[in-house]
Amino acid sequence: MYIDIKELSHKYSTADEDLLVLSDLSFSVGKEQFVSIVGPSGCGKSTLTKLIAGLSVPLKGKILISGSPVDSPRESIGMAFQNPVLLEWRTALDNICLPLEIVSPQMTRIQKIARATELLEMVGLKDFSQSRPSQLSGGMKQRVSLCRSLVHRPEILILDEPFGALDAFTREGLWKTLKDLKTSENFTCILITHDLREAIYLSDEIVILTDRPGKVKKSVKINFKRNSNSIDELYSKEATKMLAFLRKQIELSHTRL
Amino acid sequence: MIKRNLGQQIYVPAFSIFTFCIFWELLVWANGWPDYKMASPSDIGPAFWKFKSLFIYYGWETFWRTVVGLVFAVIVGIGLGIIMGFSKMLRDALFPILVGFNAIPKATVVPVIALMFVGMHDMNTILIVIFIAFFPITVSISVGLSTLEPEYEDILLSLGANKFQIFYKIALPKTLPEFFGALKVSTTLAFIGTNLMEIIEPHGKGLGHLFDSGKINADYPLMFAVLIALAVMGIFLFYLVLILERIFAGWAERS
Repeated sequence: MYIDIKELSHKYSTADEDLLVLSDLSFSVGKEQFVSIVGPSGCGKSTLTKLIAGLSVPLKGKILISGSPVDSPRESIGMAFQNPVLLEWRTALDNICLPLEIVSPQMTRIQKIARATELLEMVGLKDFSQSRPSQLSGGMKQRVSLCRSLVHRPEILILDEPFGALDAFTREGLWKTLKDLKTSENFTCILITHDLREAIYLSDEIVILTDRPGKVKKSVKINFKRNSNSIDELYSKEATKMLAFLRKQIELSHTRL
Repeated sequence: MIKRNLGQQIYVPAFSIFTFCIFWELLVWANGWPDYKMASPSDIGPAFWKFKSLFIYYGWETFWRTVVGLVFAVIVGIGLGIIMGFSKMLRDALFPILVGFNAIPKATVVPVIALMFVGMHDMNTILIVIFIAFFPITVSISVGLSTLEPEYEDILLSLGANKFQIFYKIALPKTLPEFFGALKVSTTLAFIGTNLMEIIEPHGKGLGHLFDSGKINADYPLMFAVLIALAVMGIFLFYLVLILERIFAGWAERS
């Protein structure tokens, strides 16, 4: 498969104890698939994103991307977090250009702006390209953050609860935007989320993790047919059943309250 | 957003200074204070006029030493701030020393420095300015760098950026508002540094020297005039920093 995670274990060492956060975690993601990872809080989901991004080295096991092991950060990855972490001193447009300055220094400013503008248009923020982050709403900031994570055409997009801090309606708007981006930009996506409806709406597959130390409890393919990109699809019989099933799985893994 | 009503920016401070002078004059007049107890604005004007060439000459002496000292204080302050911001060990190691150093009254350091480098007045004065002005800058830069949210770094690190790129693209601009806040404090402190040297170890130059001659000749309006000249220079330098802040960190200002 495109991304293979094999028997991954990781721990954090503090002064007085070692905290095992991931234990024997294995799963695979196919190219251009959209996989959501859900699980109780503290089960090592964010740790997993850092390991895939090559920001930390796992204690045991390995991560392969196209067959080659991940041992350091790579340009073919884009990341976005719950906190949009936009640079306050840059306009929305210049924020989006930031990764290009690192990854493609040979690009001219005009090329960078053209690429950033293309993305801004896709997320519906064309008129806000010159706004500073302090002038944007929470949802707009997150849209800019998404654009930034995609501007350098990464092959893999890692999203760590990107919509967690948004209100329900804004969030649904962003789900649609992300789906549109996925269609036009063609990337493999790994989404960490606590929102099961979000996972059902967006993914091809949902990986459920157990409580800490996290390992794969169950992997579920979303194979019922979705006719449109409408949020209404979430209220179909299959989707409702899926939601109830997923919820049960998460509840069962709650041992620590 | 950054542009405000220019008239308001000039008239309001000008009016407040004018009102302040009127009250001052009235206070002195109402109490019938002689000028050796409290000079009034109407005494100070003539004092300025009488010694105008000395004010220009000595004022410049004080001013350039202060500015040069301040520039060095910024360099030293940023340097130490970067070191302490990035290494927790060096932060722990250097903080007690710096706090101790900063707690020593600089008036007591002046004679020591004057003895150490006899006759090198320019350098001595600049040295005292550095000593008195670097600390706020060091603290602000080190705090700014050490409190950088890890996600900011992750954004660039995940792309394979190096430490220098993270410093240059994110850490440095992010600490600019804190830096300018500290620079404003340091600017006013710097004048204290220059005058400590000029008054405690007089070397015959600068406004401190003019103040001393006022004292010796019992020319009280002159002494007050020196104080006003120092205040004016302080305000001028402060606004210069303010303009730099608008240019380099104007984004931090909310309308």
